[in-house]
Amino acid sequence: MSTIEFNGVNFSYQVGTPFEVNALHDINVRISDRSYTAIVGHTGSGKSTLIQLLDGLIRPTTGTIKVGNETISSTSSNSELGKIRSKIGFVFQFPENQLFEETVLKDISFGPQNFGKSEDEAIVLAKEAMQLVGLDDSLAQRSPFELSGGQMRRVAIAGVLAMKPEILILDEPTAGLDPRGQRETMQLFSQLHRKNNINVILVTHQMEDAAAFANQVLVMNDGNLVKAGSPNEIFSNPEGLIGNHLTIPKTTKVANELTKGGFRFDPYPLTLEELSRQVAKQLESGSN
Amino acid sequence: MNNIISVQNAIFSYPGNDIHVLNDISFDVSQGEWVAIIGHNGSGKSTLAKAIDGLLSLDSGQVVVDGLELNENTVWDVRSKIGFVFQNPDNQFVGATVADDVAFGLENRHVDHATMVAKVDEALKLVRMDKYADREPAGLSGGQKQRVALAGVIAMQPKIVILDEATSMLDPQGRQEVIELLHELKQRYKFTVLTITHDIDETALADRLFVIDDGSLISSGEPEKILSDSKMLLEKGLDLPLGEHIKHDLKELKIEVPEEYMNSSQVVNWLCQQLSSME
Repeated sequence: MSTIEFNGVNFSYQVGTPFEVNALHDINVRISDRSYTAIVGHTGSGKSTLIQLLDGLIRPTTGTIKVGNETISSTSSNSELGKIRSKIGFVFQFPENQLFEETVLKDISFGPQNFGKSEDEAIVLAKEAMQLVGLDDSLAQRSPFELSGGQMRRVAIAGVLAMKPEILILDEPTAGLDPRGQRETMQLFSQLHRKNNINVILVTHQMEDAAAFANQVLVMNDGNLVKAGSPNEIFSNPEGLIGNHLTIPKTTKVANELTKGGFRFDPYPLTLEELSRQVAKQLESGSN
Repeated sequence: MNNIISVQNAIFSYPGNDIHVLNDISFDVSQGEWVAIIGHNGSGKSTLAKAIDGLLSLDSGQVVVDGLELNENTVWDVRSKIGFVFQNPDNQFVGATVADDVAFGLENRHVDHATMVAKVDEALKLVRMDKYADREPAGLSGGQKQRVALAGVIAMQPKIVILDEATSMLDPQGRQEVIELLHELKQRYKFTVLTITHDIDETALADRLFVIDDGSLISSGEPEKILSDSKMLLEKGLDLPLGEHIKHDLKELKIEVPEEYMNSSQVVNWLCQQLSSME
């Protein structure tokens, strides 16, 4: 079980100094097991602080964070933080910058070995992870540095998956990839969520991705959790997005303009494909 | 028309690798033109930009920039004509403050102090970052950082500005800021622009669009012409612009759509007309 609960969480940087900055204010939210949650907010809204807390990289100043049966508070010991971290796989921005081993297989099996698996066990886990991310066996003995950008990112993600996390935190996972690489990476996470029951938490600027993939969206602004809801609730209300310095997904913009011209949408479309389906239906029904 | 960049039969491979990253590419760019270059990761587009700036030397072929043939003797003169903005703003900062950073290039050219202060001030005003002159670059947002990087380029008054995925790490707002600013600056200084980008909607603004695939220039022309070729774009692993994406989806659903390129507002207008003509 990996349900996550934030209860009255506050976080300040440099507590007790003149430079104290309150980065998160009274965060209360529940992220249920096996869900796909997108966290959106402009630069400096507090979303990075939120996921650092979740990964046990920093402790809350006040309040508690529960992950399954483990709880983090301001007094948690490093070993308690470690227990939570073992449930969580964190894919940082540009994760391929952290590749270092001679071969793809060695790089992916480093994580499990570091968490106490034997070399043989780690290699089995690494091979499974390669399969999960769609890296061919023939690449196992290649240097990760000879691979394309998209493949390097897959190696880095496989390294995280080899540790069998229950929760996967993704910080802008498609930044810098070309459109095909972006599509494939997002499909990979969606598959991991659906088939492997991994709880996915996506931090993104791409409203289109949040709308298309998540089942819960958290909107952060100025250190506050200002809204939590389904993509439909969040993205069908453009004024709410603008007020929180977020861009409106392209699909929402087009749907709004089409509504002014007489089209009706139900449910509100979150992807261009869905929008086109509903538009086509209305054009066809008229011509019959 | 005056050619400011001319590339003829450029061939390049990385040491120890037989694959031609640039495979016999030739093209000319006119003075004052805005050219956008698209292609998937590894297609050779960044290598091409580096070859034009003399950051790597071709196996064979020729690059001529503003009348100078690029070689060991001319490389510094060629580079002085080109301002380069890279993908990751953090990798190109050298100054302790925003103003120091913009001054760096001028200092290297031994510009006297009074002129330098004036030029830095002017460049920062142009990118609307003058209020941040004494700040540390590290504390800025991504969009602000790239605007400072542009100020550093503008202060040198280059004839050519090359942006290598300069907006790809920015949030949508930051991306918008940088692109709008670039248009403004181009109007004012009439420089030539090469942008390498994955943002297909951004390319619609260019005068000409190049598609690079496996080291070859497979298509070049007006954006309207290339962006309406959805079959080619999808085959090459690229995105469709918003309007064309909707048209493509509707076509798959057996709705008849116009052949010519349409931006998203044109598609919306066309659809609304179709709907109202049915009633």
